[in-house]
Amino acid sequence: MFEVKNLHVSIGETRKLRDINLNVKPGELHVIMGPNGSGKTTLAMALIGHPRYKIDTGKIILNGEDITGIPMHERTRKGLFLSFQHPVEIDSLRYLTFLLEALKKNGKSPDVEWIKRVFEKMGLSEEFLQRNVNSGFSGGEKKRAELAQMLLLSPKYAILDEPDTGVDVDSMKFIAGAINESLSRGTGIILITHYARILNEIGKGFHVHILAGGEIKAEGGPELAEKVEKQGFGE
Amino acid sequence: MKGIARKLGESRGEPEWLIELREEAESYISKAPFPLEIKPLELETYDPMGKGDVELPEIKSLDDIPDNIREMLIKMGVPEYEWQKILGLIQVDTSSQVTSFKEYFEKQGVVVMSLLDALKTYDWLQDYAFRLMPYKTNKFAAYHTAYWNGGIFMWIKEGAKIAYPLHTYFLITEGALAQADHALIIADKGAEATFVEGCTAPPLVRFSAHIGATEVYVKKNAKVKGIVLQNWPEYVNTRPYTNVQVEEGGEIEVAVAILGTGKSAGRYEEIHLKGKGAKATVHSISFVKREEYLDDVIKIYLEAEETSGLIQTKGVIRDKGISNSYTHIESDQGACFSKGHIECSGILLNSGGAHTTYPGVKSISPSSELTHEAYVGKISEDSLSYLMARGLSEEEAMALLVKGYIEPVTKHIPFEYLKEINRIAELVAKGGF
Repeated sequence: MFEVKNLHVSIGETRKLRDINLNVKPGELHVIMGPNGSGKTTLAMALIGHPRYKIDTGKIILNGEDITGIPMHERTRKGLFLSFQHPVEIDSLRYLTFLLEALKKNGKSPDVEWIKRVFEKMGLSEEFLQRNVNSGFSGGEKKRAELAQMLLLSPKYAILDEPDTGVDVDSMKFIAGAINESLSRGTGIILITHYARILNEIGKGFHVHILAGGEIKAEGGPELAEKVEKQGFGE
Repeated sequence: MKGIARKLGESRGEPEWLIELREEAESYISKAPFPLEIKPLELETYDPMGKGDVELPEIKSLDDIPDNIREMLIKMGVPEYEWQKILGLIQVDTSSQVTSFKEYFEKQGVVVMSLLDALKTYDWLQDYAFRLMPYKTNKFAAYHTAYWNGGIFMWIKEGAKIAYPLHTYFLITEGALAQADHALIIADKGAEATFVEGCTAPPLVRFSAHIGATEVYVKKNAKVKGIVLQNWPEYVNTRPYTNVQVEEGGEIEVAVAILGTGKSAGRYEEIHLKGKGAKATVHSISFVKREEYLDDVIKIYLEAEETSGLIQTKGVIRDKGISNSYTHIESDQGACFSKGHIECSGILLNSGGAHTTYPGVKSISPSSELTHEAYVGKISEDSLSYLMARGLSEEEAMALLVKGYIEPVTKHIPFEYLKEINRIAELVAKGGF
């Protein structure tokens, strides 16, 4: 289980998140919805352990192990994954070189044929692997490549920060497909999104948490997402 | 220091014209200016007679290698079979091997011999040797011309195409430990060859100053590729210069990897494209760390129509390393429709050092197109975090980014050296020095 207990997070001197609690079981989908500036990305960054995000109190527990204080790369190696909202473009590093290295560090076999197949499954031709990391990729291509990485690393728990923002309809299908595949493999997913749209592509039951002003304001099932879609976040 | 030049020349049985050239150069040393871009050296303090000023143990076999040197070789990851070459043992142990190499080369149209032997054998070399960088050019050229000792001559005959790289450093039969060795390379019409100069591990040298020179003649439609690997021990100051002349349709491609500058390195490279359609490309990567110092000068002169030049330099700087990159492409009146581009960059891995680029272009030919770009920066924090979020530690992420950064240069370097270069890149990225 992936547990977040009474988490309080600051950036610099400013408190951004208050008393966040989550319990995610293998294969479960937890959707976090909320308006701009509600702290969604802060939550994603704090969970993966980005040093700019300071955890004031609270705990992050992965399968019984307290990982609150351990560095980002070690969390990843223990099976946590973050799909970035804005994946960085690295102009001097080939995607394939990067992926092979990442797979090795996570104890997975650096198999080029397998990488090609997963990329293809995400609608990304071989040519993307020869390009530099995200360099010149469209918004949808960047997000698809992020989720291809999720499929390759098959993490125990994945945090997906707005994988559906700024993508076209085709990309959306690939992204929803990757989420469904990972869920069925037993990956627990925390999906951060603005829109309920993507949820129509995901058949399973899921949990919804509404984040606003740095706090979880409401929790429920798919019906809550529907309500938000119709009425907006409101109060 | 007057009179030493003649003594040196006579002791080696050199032809009179060469001894006279040495003398002229010697008398000019005190008048000659230091080159503008390169840090001066107090040349008077070095003994040009070739007596070593650094105490090195006598090494006759691998068993004699002192522990600290053995440790260094292991740390550098140098395979044991290269040790002999690095330690200069190849001259002692395998002179017969060199001879059989020579015969093998000759069959393929390559003449390899010590420069001195070549100058005694071929009169016509008077028109080539020491002509591309006249001694009046600067103090280092004057010093080198006066006191050069040791070196190699390589002549790729007309139309000969050599598929494997020729290692000038390892083939220098009398000069591996010389203070001012001179390489003369002639690629005749239509010839093709690749030269490798230097090695990836620091050679053991007996001198705290090295002023070597390389002259390369690329004749009509010949293609020459040069791989330069430099990694000097920390007590050495080097001032090597290279001059290249390319005729019509000829091509020169140079890839330089400066892995260690020693105490200070001032590398000067000048390429003249003399014939229509001649081409020059120089890719350079340097690692400047600890308290190292580098002046890297690369100049291409476009002197005929449709010539083109490209320079790409990359510097990786750590600790108190100081690196200056001077690049210049110039087209003269005859260089109609010529093209030149310079791309210089550097990254600072931490604070304390400095990287400066001086890219320059000059044209007096209206149809010539010359451009340059430059930047100096650091490894982006966001890139580092991204890689760390994929399971790479900060050091591993840094190493991967540094290797990626130098890849546009290293892809021009033969595979067998890449492992060493990448290892050094990793050591620099991780601060392992």
